[in-house]
Amino acid sequence: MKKFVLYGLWVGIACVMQSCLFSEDDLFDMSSAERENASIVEAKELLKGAANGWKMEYHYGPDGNWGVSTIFAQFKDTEVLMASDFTSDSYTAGEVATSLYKVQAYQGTELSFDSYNQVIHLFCEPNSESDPGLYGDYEFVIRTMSAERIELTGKKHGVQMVMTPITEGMSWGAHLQLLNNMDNDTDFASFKVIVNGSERQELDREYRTMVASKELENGDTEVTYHPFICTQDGIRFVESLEYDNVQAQNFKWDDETHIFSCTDEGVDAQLTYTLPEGYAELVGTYQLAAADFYGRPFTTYLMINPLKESRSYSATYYLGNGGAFSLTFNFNRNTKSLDFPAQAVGSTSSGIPIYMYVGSAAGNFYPYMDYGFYGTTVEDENGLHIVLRAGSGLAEAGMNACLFLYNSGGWYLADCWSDPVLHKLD
Amino acid sequence: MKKYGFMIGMFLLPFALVSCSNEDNEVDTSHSIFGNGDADSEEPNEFDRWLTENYIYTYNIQVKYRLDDNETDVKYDLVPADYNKAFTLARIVKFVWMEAYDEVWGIQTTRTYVPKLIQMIGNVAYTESGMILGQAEQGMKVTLFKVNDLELDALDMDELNEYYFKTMHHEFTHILNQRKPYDTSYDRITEAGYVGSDWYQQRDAQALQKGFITPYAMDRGTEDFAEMVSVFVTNSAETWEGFLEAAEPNPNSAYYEEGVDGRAILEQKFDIVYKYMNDSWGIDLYELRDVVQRRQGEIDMLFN
Repeated sequence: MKKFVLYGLWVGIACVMQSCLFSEDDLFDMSSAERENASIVEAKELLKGAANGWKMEYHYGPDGNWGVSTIFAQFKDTEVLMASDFTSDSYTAGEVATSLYKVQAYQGTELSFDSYNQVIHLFCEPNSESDPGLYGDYEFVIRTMSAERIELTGKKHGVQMVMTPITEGMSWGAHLQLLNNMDNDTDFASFKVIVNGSERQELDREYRTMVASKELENGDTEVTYHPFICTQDGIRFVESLEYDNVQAQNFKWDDETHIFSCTDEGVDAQLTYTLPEGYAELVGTYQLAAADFYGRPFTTYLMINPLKESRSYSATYYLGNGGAFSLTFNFNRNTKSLDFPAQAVGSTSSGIPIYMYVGSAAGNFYPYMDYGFYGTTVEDENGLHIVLRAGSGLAEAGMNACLFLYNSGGWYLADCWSDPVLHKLD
Repeated sequence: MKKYGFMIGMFLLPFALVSCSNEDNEVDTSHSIFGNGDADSEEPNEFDRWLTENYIYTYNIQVKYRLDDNETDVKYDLVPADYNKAFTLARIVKFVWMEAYDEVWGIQTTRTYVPKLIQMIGNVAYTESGMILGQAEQGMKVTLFKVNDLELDALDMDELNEYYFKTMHHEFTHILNQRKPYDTSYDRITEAGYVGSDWYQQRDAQALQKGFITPYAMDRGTEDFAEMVSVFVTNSAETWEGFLEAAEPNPNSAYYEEGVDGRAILEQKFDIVYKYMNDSWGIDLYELRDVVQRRQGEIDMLFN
């Protein structure tokens, strides 16, 4: 008996030494690889499933602070058709561009526009080493998805975006053009915020954002961005403007009075366009004094007229040979003077584009749009003068000439303004 | 003894009764996790099929024209290449670059040494000292930037030369150098003249007067070497002679330095470059130049 008990204890000990080492309950029904694949398949089906495509509210700028563009995208098996309400040198609003896309598993389920599409990649391309462009993303991690809504995060810049199905039957071109028109029609430099009848602050508009600047006690400037998206009737702020618990998000534009009026229920708020101080004073006739390529002084006349009120001016420079250049000057609100950026000004008789670039009478120049001239306004007993000097240290390096150049198998000079000064005559 | 044997047997018995089978861990061979809706399962397009035939089967090279985040440096803001431009460039690269080497040293050698991965990027990578037009990494990968600047309706030979062909020969020279190093006495010829990342501040005429074939050659010895090869093969004999003439001491030049004979320096450098390519790789640079120049002139045939 004793032995039986003893042996039984041995068996019992041996039994309890068995663990459930290889037996674990699975948390998921499928392996991680299967779940990844299933997510990719689901995402692709949803993307392709919207009959008229998806509308993406595309945020650009650092932290998405520069505004929101509306991008339409129709997904096929491997191709995507895209169009947007954003206009650039290389893209006209509403134009459809086709490229490839893919959905892959990487940092989660990712949507990647991995072949070039001028609609989305114009936001992603830098202009130079110091100018990253519009800080856009073209690869997105899909956070949530359903047939009604897809939430994404930009992979490089971390900005959150939303896609919703485009209303069936909506014409892409017509709708995007309406939004683009609204962007242009409302593109004035500054607005006053009126809430419940009293003025609260002034906002400057840059790209598609309203910027509030506040001087702090220590002399620093605090800048707050209020990005918005254009709608058919006006604009909608990404986050409401808030003054004393009054929240105003949706605004309707009046093209005659140049006033945005809030359409949120019970909210009395307007954004009223205000002509920036100093803009009107720069309109008029000027005598341009400069030196030509050989250092010989000359004078000519320019009539500077408003182009986009509050932002820019236009002028026509007549050449001696009967040709003419169309010039654009920008109003600099900080200096209250004119800036003259590098730009296309016309073309030769054979259609070759002519550009104004920063250079020197010695023949050196920078054929880039990043550079330009900045005006300093001086008023004395002789009147108002605008001295144009090249920025980025170029004037100090001896490059202070506006060179009008064209490239025909090599660069050729059409005209030169060395050390230009504008003297206002009226 | 019998007792202990019985006890051990009793101890081991439960192990025989308990199995460690877990049906859930058995491999399910009927369901693959690959090719299920991801990019690998996509139907290849026309470009993919052409690349399979002309790059993979012919040279065992993968061409990535769709931007792969893993293959690029996150510090650069890059955009993908345009599909049509990438397709055109791939055809040109094969004709002007790979097949030129095939003619000179045989397709088998090209297959051996050509990089296994070519990545195409739409724009340039900006740095403090300028734009990166191409990169070569350890002989395995070449990245070609600026693909989207190709104008399909008006292929400009000078631009193709400057931005693509020269870049490809330059990067391939790096790859050859990485496989077999060149004579280090080359770096000492104008050792004091290398300026590193300030090369972009030099003018063409200035570089030539100092004995550098281009301003970029003034970066460092390895770039100097690669520039010599790439400029030589992508320009005609007349143009090359023009460079040498511009490098001759010219007291009227703003860049003249007494005692410095740029032409002599370039010829000394070229001797080393020519000997390296001939002895290490069996390539007669004059022959390679003739083939490259001929093929550059025949590009239109590819598209007509």
